[in-house]
Amino acid sequence: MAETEKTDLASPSSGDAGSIPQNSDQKKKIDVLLKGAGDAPIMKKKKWAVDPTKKVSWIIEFIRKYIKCEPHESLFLYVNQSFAPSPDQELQNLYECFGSDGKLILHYCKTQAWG
Amino acid sequence: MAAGTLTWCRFKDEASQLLRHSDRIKDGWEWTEVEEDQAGGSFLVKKDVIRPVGERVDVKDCVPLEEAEDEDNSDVLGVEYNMEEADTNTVPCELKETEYYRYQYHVLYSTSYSVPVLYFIASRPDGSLASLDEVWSIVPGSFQSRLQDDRWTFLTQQEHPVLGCPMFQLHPCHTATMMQPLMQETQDKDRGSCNYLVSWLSSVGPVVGLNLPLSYAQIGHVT
Repeated sequence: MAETEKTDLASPSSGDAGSIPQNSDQKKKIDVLLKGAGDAPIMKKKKWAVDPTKKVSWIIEFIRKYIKCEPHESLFLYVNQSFAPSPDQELQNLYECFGSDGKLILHYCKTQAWG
Repeated sequence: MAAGTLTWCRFKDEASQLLRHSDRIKDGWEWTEVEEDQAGGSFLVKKDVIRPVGERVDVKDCVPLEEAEDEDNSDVLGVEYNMEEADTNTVPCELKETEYYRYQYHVLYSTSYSVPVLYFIASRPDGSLASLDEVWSIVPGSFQSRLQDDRWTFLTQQEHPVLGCPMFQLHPCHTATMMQPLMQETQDKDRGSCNYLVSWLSSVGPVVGLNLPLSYAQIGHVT
């Protein structure tokens, strides 16, 4: 997309904007906690370790399959409980901006939003 | 106000917050006042957003997630979630030879539904307007699969309520339903109200190529 962007927030743990301090070459998975909002079904398994290069769209599809979303239902994913990141945003960026205590909390809402 | 809706006053206040942030990060949003004292008579505009053709968000091959180590969760069922390759569900369509589209987005307030509404136009490099088929073909695959049956009711051609020119519109009839759980969640947690406009725009914008930078997430929150 033309507006695919790197996060424009300075990384809190490094002087270089956008750089990621890494101790090894291996990508460390990110602990993600998935929480249902409103009347969205609650996932039996909420905590997942996810590849940091995965995108928001991938996580949405995963949740959709897990909670058996119908094709006509929409699923939205939120950080900070209120902001839907772009589908092509990488988990790494979300974690840098909104992660705390070693994990990233994501809320999801299910709705028959369209049509 | 009914659940999931917002007042004209709140729309204006939150638009101000959005505009302040947009100015700070040079994101290009502007406020247009046409009918000054009329509810819904002023609106947000973002121009000259270029979207190259051929870029589309698709879900790549999925592989099972590992389960995080969680000492409290010892009752692992041992079920593997078989993430077969997701359908990309692209719409077969004859696209004209176009390198990019130039988008213009308008965010208005609907006095009928008491929610914001997103209008937009897309034009080709030669200035001619894109058709509804073309616009639809650029909707990300992850949304197309869900909207296949209802796409014409959800994305329609409508006259701009203030300017009177034809534009595409994301129909607002289900916006309140969509926003209600989110608004409830933020209120219940006693975090103060978040910015409805930013929450809504971040949710629906990507369907039509409008992606808000992550920093907008901080608007309205005490950090």
